[in-house]
Amino acid sequence: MKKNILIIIAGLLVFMSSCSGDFLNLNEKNPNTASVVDPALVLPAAINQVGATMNNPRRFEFVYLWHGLWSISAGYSQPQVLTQYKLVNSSYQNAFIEFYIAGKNFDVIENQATAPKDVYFKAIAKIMKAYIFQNLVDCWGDVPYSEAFKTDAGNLKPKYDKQQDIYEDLVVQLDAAINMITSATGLVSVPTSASDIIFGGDMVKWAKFANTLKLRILVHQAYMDNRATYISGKIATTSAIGYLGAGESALNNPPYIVSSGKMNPFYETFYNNAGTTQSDGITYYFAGKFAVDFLKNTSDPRLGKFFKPYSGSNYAGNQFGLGQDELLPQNQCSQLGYIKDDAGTMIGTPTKPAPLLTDFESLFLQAEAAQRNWITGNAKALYESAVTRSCAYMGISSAAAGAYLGQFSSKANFDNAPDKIELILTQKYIALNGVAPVEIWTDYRRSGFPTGLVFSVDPAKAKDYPPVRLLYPQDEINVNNDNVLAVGTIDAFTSKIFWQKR
Amino acid sequence: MSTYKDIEGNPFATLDGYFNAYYPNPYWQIAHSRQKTDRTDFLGSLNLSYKPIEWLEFSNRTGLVYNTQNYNDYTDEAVYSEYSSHDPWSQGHMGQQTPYSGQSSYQMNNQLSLTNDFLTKLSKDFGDFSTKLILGVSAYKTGYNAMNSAASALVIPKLYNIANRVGEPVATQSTLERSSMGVFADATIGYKNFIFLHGSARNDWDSRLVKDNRSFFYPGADISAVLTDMFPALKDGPILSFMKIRAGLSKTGQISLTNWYATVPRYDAAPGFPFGNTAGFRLNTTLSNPTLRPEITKELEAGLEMSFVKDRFHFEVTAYKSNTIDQTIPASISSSTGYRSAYINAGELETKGIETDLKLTPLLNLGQVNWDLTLNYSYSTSEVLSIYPGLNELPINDGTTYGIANSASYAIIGQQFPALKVTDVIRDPEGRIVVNPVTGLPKTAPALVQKGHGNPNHILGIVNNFTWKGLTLGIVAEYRSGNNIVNRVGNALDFTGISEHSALNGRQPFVIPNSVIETAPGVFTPNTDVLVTDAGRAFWVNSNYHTTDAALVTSAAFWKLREVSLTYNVPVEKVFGSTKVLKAASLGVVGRNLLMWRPKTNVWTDPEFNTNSVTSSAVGFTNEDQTPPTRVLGFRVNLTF
Repeated sequence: MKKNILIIIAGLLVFMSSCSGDFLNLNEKNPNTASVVDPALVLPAAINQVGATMNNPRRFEFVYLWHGLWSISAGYSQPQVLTQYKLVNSSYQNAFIEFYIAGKNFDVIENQATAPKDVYFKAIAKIMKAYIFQNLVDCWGDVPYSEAFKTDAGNLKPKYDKQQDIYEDLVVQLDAAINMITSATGLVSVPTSASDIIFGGDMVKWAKFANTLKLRILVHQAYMDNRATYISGKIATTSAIGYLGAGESALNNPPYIVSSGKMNPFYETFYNNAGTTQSDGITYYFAGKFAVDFLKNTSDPRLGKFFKPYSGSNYAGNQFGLGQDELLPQNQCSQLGYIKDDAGTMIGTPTKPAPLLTDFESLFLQAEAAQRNWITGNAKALYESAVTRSCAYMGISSAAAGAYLGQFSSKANFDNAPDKIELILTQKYIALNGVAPVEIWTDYRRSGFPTGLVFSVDPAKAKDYPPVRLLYPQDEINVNNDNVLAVGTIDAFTSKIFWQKR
Repeated sequence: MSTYKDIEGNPFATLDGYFNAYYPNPYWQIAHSRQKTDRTDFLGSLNLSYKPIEWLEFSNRTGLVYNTQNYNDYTDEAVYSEYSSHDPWSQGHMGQQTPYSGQSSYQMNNQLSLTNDFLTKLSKDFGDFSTKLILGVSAYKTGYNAMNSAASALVIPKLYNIANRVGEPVATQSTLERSSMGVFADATIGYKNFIFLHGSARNDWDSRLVKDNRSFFYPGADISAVLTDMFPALKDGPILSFMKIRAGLSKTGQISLTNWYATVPRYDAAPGFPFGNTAGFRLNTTLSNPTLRPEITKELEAGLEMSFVKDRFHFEVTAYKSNTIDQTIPASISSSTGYRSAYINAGELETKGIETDLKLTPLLNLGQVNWDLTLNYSYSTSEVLSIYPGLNELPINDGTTYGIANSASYAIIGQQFPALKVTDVIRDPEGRIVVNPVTGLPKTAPALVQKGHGNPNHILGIVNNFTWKGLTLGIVAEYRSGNNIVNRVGNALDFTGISEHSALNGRQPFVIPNSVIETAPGVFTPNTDVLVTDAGRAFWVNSNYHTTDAALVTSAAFWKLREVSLTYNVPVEKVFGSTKVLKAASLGVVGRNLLMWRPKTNVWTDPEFNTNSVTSSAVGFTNEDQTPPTRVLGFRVNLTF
């Protein structure tokens, strides 16, 4: 008996030690998630993150509110962060965070797609990273770039790079991406439509998108001194690629479906998947006075798509910064445009693809570049097709667009406009309402167009013009403080982005 | 509040009529928003032991715990009338009412844990020496499975089934496993029962770490001697009756990773995905770390115990120093890395202190009146010695966001843990608030400022026991100090306009006390006449004074009357005769948390009740979401048969 038990115990010990190898290998692989994922499966998620950030009205609401496009309805307390321009570090920091999270995933794709056959994925990742950093620089100036995403090398505190250096490198990166696409040879795998949720694997369009993005980056610098040679030189190197033309918008299209959390993010701020209102959004953002007046004064056929009549065919917008008792009541002020199932309205439909860079923005950029003689092309023709494409985006016929452009008003008619750049940028501002807030902000900061904006009329506002940049996120100040301090003192009103010379 | 109970009949208690624009009537939530859990537990154990000879014993214990849970969480649809969801006359802020669809989620999970401990115990005396040796092997394995499905828009009201929905259901699954093993030895040698030498050694393996780091060894040793038994002459005098000294040195290792797969990179289905046939994955925003190591604590301890006058006075003192290295925490990191947080082994924390205990049994004895008194005092302090290469400070990410301002508990090199860092307004070198010469309002400082720490250094306890015949009166009081508290609940009280501060100036514009104006760069003149522009919402809701936390920091010191109890031991035999059925009986009343004295500056609440007191070591914040302090009054009857 004694012996038997000793043998059993000895056996148990031997058993435990022998199986301990496998016994302890339970956590080397997570049974719930993958640790390496094919670039083709990371790409749609990373693109969609950018689409969600750019099309979430809350991320860049300050642009719409300060620039007379939207207002906050009389039913809500008017946030002084905005009416008095009192941004704090945490204001609008989510976009910063989301850009870097998406950027990391593109960075992984870029580094993982080393095989020659994956060159298209690598090029797309480069283009999307450039898109992200262009937006980061336009909002925050100096940001981590060369040391970003380097956790594999143990860098948890990336240094901040000079904004102009980043901007110039983006042009280099876009040239490289274009070159990768045009010079790809041999058996190259083309992303499918389930992976490339923008162009469905159409690499010609990706090259055009890269070239249009490059044009956007260069045109942003139009008002800098002694910069024209650099700009026109850089434009020339890839002029043969062309730009996104009519019907070639870069749109994020996963595709959206009618289900909570899977709808167009702009739409989903206002309506839920049952088609009823998300009160917080729909009763919060109303029309802005400047935009409504401008559209009314120019008999713009897009008025009813941008905004909703508050009764009959009456439209009105609120001046931002008024006290709650001075604002137009909710029943005398227009909401944002919405007609059920009409994708042309600003709120659109749950499944409407979300814009990243529209054909009409591309045409406006080309019109400006042509007017400045940086590209060949007829500025008037480019301008008119830009407005026509904006109308088409909102479901307005080209005939109505033609009538609009042909009217006498110098606010629409190219020939009658005394300052063509002002006309192009003012019409671009109108067209990008609800589409590309960062571009509206950038264009205003660099050019001062449209003229006559009132911003906020709050008497307690901190300055007579709104901030010219966003402040670094609080998290950066908390956990990357040395590098933030190395940038120097940041003032929301005076620390301009490098391309702003006004 | 109870007048809002009738959620259908009382027009002020309905969804539309309830006054709060931020939260529905709690009685509506009780009726329409519930979490229900069914849990079944199955426990089993098998103990075997065998003693082949008198000094040798083998034993094996196998344990099994299995539990299964069904969990349903639902919220009924909330629909607001046009009147309450719109506010055409801008009379209030009713527009914040957000209608939502009915929602339901259902989760089933189970967990099976197995443990096995095998021990060999040897004990034998050799003359004046006694020896004891324990050798053991232990193994642990646990597995957890969960399935969750949810519908975010129900169609038929009050039918909580996933099939009853529009839109896509959410379905998630998770399977988790981990295991660990340990071998250990524990030996004690005693000499004449007055000197004991004790040593232990253990090696553990844990599956949560990668192969190269998963094995960790930790030994310990201590010695104790009863001096009054060693040298009986010590007891000869009338004073000293007992004296013991002890000293020990030990090391312990542990793994505290709540994410069992923290060493493996992880891609999750990205938000919203899949969109029909489009799948998409993204890196988890917490950086995985294959180099994670166990947390190791080294402790040095020495103690002295003495009794005097026939054990009437008993005195104990212990001094200790412990160093914990490589604590594993998910730390916030710069989002420009592409991640929000990272698992890291975070440096070294040193804790040291002294604990004293004095028992006077009795302090006073006057015939039938007896007063026993116990005093204990402890002092503890800590210092963060290092964090992560290149980091001087680290916010402790415990999943809670302290409002938008992100004041947080920090580990800071050279400081006690947890250090409290809060947002502040800009101040001059003397600490006075710099205000705008026109608006009278302050500006937010660019960096957080440190305001002490959250760990009480001094704890003094007093336990009194008075007995008189069958009556016992117990009084327990305690004092704590040395730490601070960020009373973020004050932020909510200011916001809603019900705080003491917000009413101090009769809600009229005022000069911010102790404020200055910067008349030239670096030149600050006391502000005597620039009033804040608006002492209403503009100051108490929107100003930087309100959005920063420094003014909410106070000392967390307190004196508390923790417990008073009065017990009467019923003289059973006298009252009931010798029934033999009832052996003893006592009646008592008890009150806990009866009185509290706080510094005058802490006008808010009991600093012991803070947001993280249960779940995290990062203490030091209160807010309006936490459980309010409670006072307990009770009545006790004990019957022994």
